[in-house]
Amino acid sequence: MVAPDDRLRRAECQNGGQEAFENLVRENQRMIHSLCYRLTGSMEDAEDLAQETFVQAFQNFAEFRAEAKASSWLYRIAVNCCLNWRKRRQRQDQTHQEWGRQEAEVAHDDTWRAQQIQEALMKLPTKQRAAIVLTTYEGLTHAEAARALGCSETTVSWRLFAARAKIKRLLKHLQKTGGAL
Amino acid sequence: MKNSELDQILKSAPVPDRPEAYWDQFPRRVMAKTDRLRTRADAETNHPRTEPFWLRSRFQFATVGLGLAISGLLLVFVLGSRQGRQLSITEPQLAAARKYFQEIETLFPGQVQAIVFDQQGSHLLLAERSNVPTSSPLYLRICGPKGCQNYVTFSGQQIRLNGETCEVLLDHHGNVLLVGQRWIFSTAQASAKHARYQVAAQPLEMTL
Repeated sequence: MVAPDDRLRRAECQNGGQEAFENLVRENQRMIHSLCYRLTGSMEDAEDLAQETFVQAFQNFAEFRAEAKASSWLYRIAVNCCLNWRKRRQRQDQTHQEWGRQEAEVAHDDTWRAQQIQEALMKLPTKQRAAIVLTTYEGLTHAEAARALGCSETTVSWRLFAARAKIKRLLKHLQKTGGAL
Repeated sequence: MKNSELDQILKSAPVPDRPEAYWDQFPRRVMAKTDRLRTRADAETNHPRTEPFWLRSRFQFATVGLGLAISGLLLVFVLGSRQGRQLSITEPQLAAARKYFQEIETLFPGQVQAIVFDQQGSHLLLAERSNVPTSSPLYLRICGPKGCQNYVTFSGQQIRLNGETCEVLLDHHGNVLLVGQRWIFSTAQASAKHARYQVAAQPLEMTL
């Protein structure tokens, strides 16, 4: 089912509407940045990959026709960009330090906890991480995640099963110290 | 831990936020980039390039140039090292050959014409009688297309080198000569190298 707004946006963009595409970027930029950050663990890489995602979207606009929703189409492009991403540990470490400074107002425990979770995510194989991020954080169904990842729903389910088993072990200590959790 | 508990833990980690100015500027940066790409694409369509593909940008030119320079340096290095490489005989090789020769000479006095060390092991060339002239044993290391062979032999003896017979001679200056049917090699030559073989030779007794 194509949302009416998406249909209108698509028509505008295909007619060369710069403004329409800019609006598309504006509306989806936080979601794509968030996805890229969860998949890379780096703010700088997330910025680069988000930009790459939208540039690719602009260049491959013809593919948009087959998609039900602009967000699903952007998810797929972003996931592909991130799957091709190479780990840059140095930048990740730098990010954590910068983040620590930015989040000075937040309680130290929360920052530490968030870093532990992101680090646990980064220990998952890339495709398992993508499955967890798309379903848990972005709220996609298995079918939507499968479309974004270019695999079957069964594969998504297996990846989620494996990812959950591993991340539970990695985050066991957070459950104990998590108070309400 | 239940899946719902895990989800709750995962969701408790927020994505680090960025300032509002960033979100305001990001779409403009994307549009600026797409504009640049479109302008470039238009320019290429209107003014197709005639220069070779490897000269289409300074970056590509620099990359190709750097690649060629590195390839050239590697080639020079490899060729230089091949040219300058001289086959050498190491002290452990000499010590092992010396020990082996002494044992064989004890078993077959005056009969040892040559001992050959190759990939298959060691081979003895023995005379039927104890009439091999007494002279200083020589250690030879010869490398060719089929690998390396080491010999302990004497001046005046013949050895087989890849199916070819050659004579080993020691001149009065202590230089070793190998005389084949169509070639001659002397350790006195500066290059110490034959067209097909690399040879190193040294009297064995000098280090005894």
